[in-house]
Amino acid sequence: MSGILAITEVKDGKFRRASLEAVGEALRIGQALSLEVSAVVMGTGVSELAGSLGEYGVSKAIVVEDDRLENAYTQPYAEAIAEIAKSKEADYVFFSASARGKAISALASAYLKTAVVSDCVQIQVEDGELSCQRPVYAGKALSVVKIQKKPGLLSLRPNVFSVEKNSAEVAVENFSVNFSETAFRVKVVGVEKAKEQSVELSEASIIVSGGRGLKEAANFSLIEGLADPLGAAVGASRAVVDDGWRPHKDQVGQTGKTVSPNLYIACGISGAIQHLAGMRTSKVIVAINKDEEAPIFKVADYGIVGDVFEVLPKMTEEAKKLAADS
Amino acid sequence: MKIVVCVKRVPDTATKIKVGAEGNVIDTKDVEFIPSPYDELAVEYAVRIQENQSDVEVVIVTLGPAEASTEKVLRRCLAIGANRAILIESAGTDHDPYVIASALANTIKEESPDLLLFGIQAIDDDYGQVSSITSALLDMPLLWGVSEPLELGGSTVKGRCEVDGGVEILESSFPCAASIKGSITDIRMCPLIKIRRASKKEIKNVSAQLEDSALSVEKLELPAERVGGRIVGQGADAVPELFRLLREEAKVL
Ligand SMILES: Cc1cc2nc3c(=O)[nH]c(=O)nc-3n(C[C@H](O)[C@H](O)[C@H](O)COP(=O)(O)OP(=O)(O)OC[C@H]3O[C@@H](n4cnc5c(N)ncnc54)[C@H](O)[C@@H]3O)c2cc1C
Ligand SMILES: Nc1ncnc2c1ncn2[C@@H]1O[C@H](COP(=O)(O)O)[C@@H](O)[C@H]1O
Repeated sequence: MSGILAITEVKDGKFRRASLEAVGEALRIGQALSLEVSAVVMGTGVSELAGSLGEYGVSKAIVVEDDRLENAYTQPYAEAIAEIAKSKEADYVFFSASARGKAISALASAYLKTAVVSDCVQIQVEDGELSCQRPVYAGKALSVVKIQKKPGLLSLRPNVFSVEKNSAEVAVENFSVNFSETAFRVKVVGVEKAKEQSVELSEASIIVSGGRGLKEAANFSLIEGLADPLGAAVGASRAVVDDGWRPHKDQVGQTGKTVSPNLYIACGISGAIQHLAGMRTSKVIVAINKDEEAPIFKVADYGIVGDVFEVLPKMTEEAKKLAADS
Repeated sequence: MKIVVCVKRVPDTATKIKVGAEGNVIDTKDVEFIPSPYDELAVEYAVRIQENQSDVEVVIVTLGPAEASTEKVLRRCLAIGANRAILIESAGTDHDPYVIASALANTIKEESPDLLLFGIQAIDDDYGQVSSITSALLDMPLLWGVSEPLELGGSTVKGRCEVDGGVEILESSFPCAASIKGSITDIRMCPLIKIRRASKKEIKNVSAQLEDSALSVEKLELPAERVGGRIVGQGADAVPELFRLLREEAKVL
């Protein structure tokens, strides 16, 4: 047999959206290459969920249901994927490039003696082969990569590929894995949910980011105030992370997160090359800065030259009106 | 305890990327190289462990060309406080993660580290894989994306890792590997005396065993320059028009 595996991620009893994007793209590529696509669902108590994948056009699911996956870390998942890929002689394995997806795909690649084309933003079929585009140098360049060894492993940047609704009957195959003796040597002993941020930065469709122009940590309430009615995540420049106003996980840029939301609103951020590297692939960029010469305006689609302390409250007012209307 | 830190030589973050004549790698003429920032943090973190505990050796391993710029990167790590360095010589650093990881693993095996540290990702190729592949080849458990200092205690290690939407607390058997994120520690200034001392520390050159490539980079392209948009207006008065444009023209609200 040959075919494509699409790895799903289950969190709190639901499929994570980013992994459904990987499923969607796998189906598209599967059609172009005439390869069957099987979604892989792994975890504890996930069997029932597998049936619901029909909504996304999946007609075959491979389920690894195992109690030991309850508080497991990456290794058993990677072992399971490698074993399924070998036993099905998979041509390609699609992952989401979420934090977990990246860690698991790279481990699986080690077991398969290959590497992952990680963080793909575009996949094309050329002469029966995949040509994958991925940003490098934090998006300052794009690299076009071809796969030299089968199976080919790919991880897809969240938010770039679409999820399509469909309907299909799902045939479920249960797969039992021979985990290695060391598979469970790392355990997840606790999880602390981020409370202050309900929308995850790397998956957010709108981001409001603040920089040193906010003057002090407490003024980030202006950024949060705007993010809230927009349903947006809050980002930050490194300058304010270094000053301890925001945690490092909020940092956007070359040494922070690379994001590509539909809308990125940069407030009081100058637009240093390292910051631009992390957000320049956003679909629409808005900049609010009191200095009309600030480099951020060179990449912004829309700009307002003005003081954040005047502009942000007015934006929040407009955003609230919008939220009330919808 | 022996700590091995894997450090990659990368172009300075302020570098304006130009595509080289080959079409699939960057033009390195006039490029300043630095230790990849997350790797430098890993070195700094290893040195802090060394300062707080007796009998800790910190060894730097890099795979890259035997050039002055690579040596400079290694000397920088030695100045932070690492004891010695190993340079695995290869013509370039543009290999895929499997090729890099298998060469690193071959050399690291002989060092048998107790703790093996990586950056979460190298800021040139942005792969984020070498830590996972290297540790798998060495059969060491890996904590991916550690964001706070580890709790090292006897035969177990506790680590806190940022994942999408929160922090996971992990417990692993020890020896282990970890890839490091930005908030674990900060970079201190290097006093001159340490820089001077570093110039005398050992750098051992070994040759690389390179596997066949798993991936090939066909082309490197520069993204289309964003054409600067327009200034909607000045101050708070421009806000209603901005929202109209975002709704009706850009259709993102
Ligand atoms: C190795 C390395 C890695 C780096 N990685 C990153 C990274 O990942 N991400 C990142 O962001 N940076 C990174 N940097 C730092 C980067 O070079 C800049 O220093 C940083 O982005 C600047 O942050 P900022 O724009 O908030 O501050 P500043 O550059 O100080 O800009 C503040 C801006 O606010 C404006 N302003 C001030 N007051 C107001 C007001 N009242 N109303 C409106 N506007 C106002 C000013 O005109 C100015 O443009 C890195 C640097 C290095 C050396
Ligand atoms: N050529 C190299 N030499 C030494 N360490 C490396 C090399 N390439 C990658 N690494 C290590 O692996 C990490 C992840 O790299 P990457 O998978 O390329 O993003 C880096 O932060 C380094 O710690």
